[in-house]
Amino acid sequence: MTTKSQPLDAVARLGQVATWLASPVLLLVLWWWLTERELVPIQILVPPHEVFETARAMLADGELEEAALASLFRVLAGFASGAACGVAFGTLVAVSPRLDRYAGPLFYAFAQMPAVAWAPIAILLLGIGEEFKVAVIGLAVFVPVTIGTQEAIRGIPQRYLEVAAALALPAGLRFRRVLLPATLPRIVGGLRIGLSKGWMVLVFAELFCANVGLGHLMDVGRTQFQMDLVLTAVLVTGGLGFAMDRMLLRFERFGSGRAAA
Amino acid sequence: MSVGVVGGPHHFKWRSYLWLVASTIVLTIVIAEISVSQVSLAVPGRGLIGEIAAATLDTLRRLLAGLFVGITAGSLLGTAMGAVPILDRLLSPPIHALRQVPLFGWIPLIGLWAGLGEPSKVTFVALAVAYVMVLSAHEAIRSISPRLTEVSRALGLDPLTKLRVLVIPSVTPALLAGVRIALAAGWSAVVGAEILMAAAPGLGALIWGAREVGRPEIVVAGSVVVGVLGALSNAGLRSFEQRVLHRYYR
Repeated sequence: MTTKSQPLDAVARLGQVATWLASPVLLLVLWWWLTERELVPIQILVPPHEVFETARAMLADGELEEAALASLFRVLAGFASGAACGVAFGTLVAVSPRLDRYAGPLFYAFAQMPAVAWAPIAILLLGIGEEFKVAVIGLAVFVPVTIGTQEAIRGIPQRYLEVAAALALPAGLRFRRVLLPATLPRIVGGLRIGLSKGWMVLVFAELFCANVGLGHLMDVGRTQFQMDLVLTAVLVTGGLGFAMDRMLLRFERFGSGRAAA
Repeated sequence: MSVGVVGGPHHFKWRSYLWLVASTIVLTIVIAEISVSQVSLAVPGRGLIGEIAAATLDTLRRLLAGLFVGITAGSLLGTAMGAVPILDRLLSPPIHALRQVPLFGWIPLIGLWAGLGEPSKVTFVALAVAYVMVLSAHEAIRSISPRLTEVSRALGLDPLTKLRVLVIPSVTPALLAGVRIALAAGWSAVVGAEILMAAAPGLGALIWGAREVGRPEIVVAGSVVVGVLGALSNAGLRSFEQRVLHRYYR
């Protein structure tokens, strides 16, 4: 049966890939056609090849690299500090109900505040330099990571802990074989939400105050009516965010795999 | 359905209420102290409270308009994608690709296309809301149990009855949860849009303008208003959600 259905499977898979690709290809063709026939003014939509050329030129003279590196550095610094604090605080409120009772409501109110609304206050406190950007990204990451960590630890099945206790596992083994695999998926879930929030806040902060960075490029493109520049920066930002998200997923699989081995 | 917030309302004890009230009072006193010390700087005529109230109304109006458009458009698109497989396969790839663009990356694009006026701001809020609603409506439709669908077919229910007894009860929890996430996204979008596309009244613009002319008391007071309104709207929606779920889903 399996041998017989294999070509059929292949055809079905091909059909699936085709429908999956259909709309992006259609959109690209539509985009190209609209601009080629000049059906829309060039200020509204630039031809796709122009975006490609702009990206290549900026890559060649290092402008794109400089902006991407500046943005990446900010995201990584903010993400690392926000995630570290979030995991630590989430663990504390998960293991101490008393702390949760006292700090929970305040954290709950804190979490309601949109991350972008912290920007003006952060600027007042830290000035309009690098520190405030990293701090606001960190705040944006902190909230979902705390929630994810707390849920992860609360969600460890009691049975696992009982089995670990019955087997008298040493602490290291207990952490690696029981705690880590039980909590990692939800913690990584929180980290992924945090990362996407971090990118969002980064673009926000760079749009209004930065001398370098992908958001700054977008702003320059907007004020100079260079749509190719805006689109290049948007594409690179999306691509970097996507790549980092995939890396977190990898990390989760790697962590769970090692724990199971 | 997990509540998902540390110390969510179901964990509240009277002692934490006391704590919350005490910390709010302290915070308010601090803000009032700062404000009073700078009151001579306040705009003559309207006063600080009046200014903040007017800005709040502007922001709320913008948020509601964006929520209305975004929830309607997003739910319709998500429902269509959930109900028609071919639409799903055609639209999912571009939608997931667009989701990779950080939300505020749309602001320069919308700015190029439509300027920085009122329609652009509402469009941006609607976009942020629609993102969320497409996904949750899609999920909601797919959460309808296929067994119940078969039963309703076997019973030969007419479309209206089917809608009433099968579809609406099945999709409501996921949709309500989606609306709550969309509300948070909408708050973030409306404040961000007001900061980035200034030149309009609103809380974000007020806070931002106050920062630029060096009036920290307005920055702090405006931010507190944003936080409190966000928390209140979320809590209101949550209690509505729980009432609905409690009444119809036991």
